[in-house]
Amino acid sequence: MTRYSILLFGIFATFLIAMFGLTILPKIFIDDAVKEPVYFTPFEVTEGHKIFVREGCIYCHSKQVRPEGYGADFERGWGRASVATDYRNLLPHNLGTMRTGPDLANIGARQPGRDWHYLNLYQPRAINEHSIMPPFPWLFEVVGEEARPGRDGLRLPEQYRIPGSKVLPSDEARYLVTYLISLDQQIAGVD
Amino acid sequence: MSTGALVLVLSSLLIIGGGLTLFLWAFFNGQFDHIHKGSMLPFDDEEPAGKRTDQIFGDDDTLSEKEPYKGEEKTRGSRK
Amino acid sequence: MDPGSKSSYQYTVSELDRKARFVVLFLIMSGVFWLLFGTLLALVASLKMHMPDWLGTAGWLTFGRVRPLHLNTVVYGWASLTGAGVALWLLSRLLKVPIMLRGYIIVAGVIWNIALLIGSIQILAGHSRGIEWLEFPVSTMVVIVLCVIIMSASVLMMLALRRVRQLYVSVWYLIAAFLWFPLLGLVSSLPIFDTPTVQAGMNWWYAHNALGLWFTPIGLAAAYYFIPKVLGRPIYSYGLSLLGFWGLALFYNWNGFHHLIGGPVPTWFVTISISASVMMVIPVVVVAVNHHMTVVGSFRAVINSPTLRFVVFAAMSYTFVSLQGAAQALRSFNEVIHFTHFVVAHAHIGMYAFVTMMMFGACYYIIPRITMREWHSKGLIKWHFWLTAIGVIIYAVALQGIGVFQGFGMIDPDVPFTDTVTMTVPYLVARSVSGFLMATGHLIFAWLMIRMVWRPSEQPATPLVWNKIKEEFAS
Repeated sequence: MTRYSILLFGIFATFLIAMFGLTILPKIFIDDAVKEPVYFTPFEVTEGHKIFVREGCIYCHSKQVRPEGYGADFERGWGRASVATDYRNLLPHNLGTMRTGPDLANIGARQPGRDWHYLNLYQPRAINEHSIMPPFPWLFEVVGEEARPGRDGLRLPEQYRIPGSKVLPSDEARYLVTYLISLDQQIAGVD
Repeated sequence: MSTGALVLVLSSLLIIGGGLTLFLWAFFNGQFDHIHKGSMLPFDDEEPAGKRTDQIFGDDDTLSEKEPYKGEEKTRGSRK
Repeated sequence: MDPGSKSSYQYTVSELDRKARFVVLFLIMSGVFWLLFGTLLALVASLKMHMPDWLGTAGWLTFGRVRPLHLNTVVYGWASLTGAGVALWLLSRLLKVPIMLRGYIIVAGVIWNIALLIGSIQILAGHSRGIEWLEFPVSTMVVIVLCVIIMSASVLMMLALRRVRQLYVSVWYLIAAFLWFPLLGLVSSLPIFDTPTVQAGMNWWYAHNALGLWFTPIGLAAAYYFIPKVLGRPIYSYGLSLLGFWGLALFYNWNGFHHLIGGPVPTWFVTISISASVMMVIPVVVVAVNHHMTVVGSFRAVINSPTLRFVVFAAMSYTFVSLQGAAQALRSFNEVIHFTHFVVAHAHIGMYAFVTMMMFGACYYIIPRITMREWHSKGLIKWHFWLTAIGVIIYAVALQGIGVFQGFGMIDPDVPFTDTVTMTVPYLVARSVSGFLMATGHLIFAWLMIRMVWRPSEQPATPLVWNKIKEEFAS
């Protein structure tokens, strides 16, 4: 055995054993329990999930509630500790690593109203002036006041109103909000 | 004991055992003799040990005044 | 070249550097381009955090797309391309054999740059893969991995054709890096991680290993070479350095799940990672002792060398960020700082104060010797150093300082959540300021690099290779 073949062996062995331990072993223990249930994921929810990923929501919002007694997640009313089935087998995962904004695992239970979400997405500072969340106006359409009769525009505060126009959610905003409202630990996934 | 813990303990013992075996082999096979010689590898005839390089902002030739550290006496100034 | 031949031709340092010239210069120049692009994205992202309505109507520039593109371009563009160039040069020097497969590597480099370009457009257009540290589409990652595999083949060829009897510790780290990174890239691209929490586990196994098994080895290999080389003193304890290598290989691989503390994964996986993270203290301290004992008493020589100013700063940052990381993995500390800006700053201390500064130092040593040219301004080099060093220190102090308070605020249910946001805003502004300092430093560095190949000065400002040039012209 030459000396550098031991080096090569060590390099591969240390890597492969840990790779097995951290990526394959979890699969063995977790996969079946997550794939087994039937999840309630209508088209709008899966589309909304894609938009959530596209706009990079995870870079400011986590979607994993920590257990009671660890941090103040439970006391803040963010829900019970997240479990694997809460993520409903939608990929990519969006567990998130930042709480520049609040955790979203149970946002559907905290904010079940669509109008609140539409407003928050169009202009977050319309709801909380101290928010640093980016606006997402391209998920909406600005149309003339008289257009699309029967559809009410967003109820914007004075300074964000565009005179003579109303703001309507487009399909993408509707999908995203349906997804957000579905993030409710009571109904999360399992049929 | 849960299955998970059992898998963990057994595989850890195997891995640690394997590592220990390799280390002991290396030690008794003389792999670690004269190990300090390896520290001279960055140097050669054109750029020998004992000479500063890359002294752009000034001149520092105080290496010769320095106390060699343990093991360095044998290596300082030696050519490859 | 016939791999079977036992030629005993000894290459001189000048010959090795000359053969390395085009390949290494190309890789490093590509890296510098992505540094500038990645820095621009960083500034946009940083400004948007405290000025969220700035450029707020453009979907392709929203924070959620610019921020991941910044990460991916500095990681797979700047740090990986420059790191690869530096690594190949180091291997050439330490194995005393010219870089192999040079033509193929240049082609790979071109393809790599194109892949980065296409991947960047895709992320801004909304086609991110959506996994942190893996936002480039799988196609981009697979292409980059294939390019690295070509370099790995070169590395193995150089190993087989070496003209030295013993492998220096830097060579161990670099061989490992060129074997580990393709494996990481390939496994993470497999579609077999198809349930969310399992994919999250793979995500953080990958991301942390990219740091510790690709960038850290390249950085440490550079430190182990340049510190002795510039000072003219061999490393304090060679045996310790080998212990450090095996410690890294053994423990680093298991760290990944410390990113998921408190998360929806079985606790015992997390505990394994916490233990491994704490065990990392051993190789980290070993490396620190080795560097310290080699450098101590040679402060003047460090200051006089631009390479060592950057390399020693980087090496000290490595020790700091690794010890800090081990502390962050402890559950009690993690409870406070998880999900805060503290962690973002930690990532930057690692990738910038350690990896990037180390690469700057390596470039200052390598470029004059492969181009046979001098840096045209000593003053500008000093500006580069101070701007980037002070910049990253402000970044770290500002965000880690407020990150702790943000964390304490978050775990106190009486503190309204919105307060944990407003308290960070002044420090996010400080981060933007530090970003402008670093960006200026990068522009200066890019300018110095450009002047090495375009209108290089005839009068040497920095007499590094002048004697060699005079010899060449004399003969």
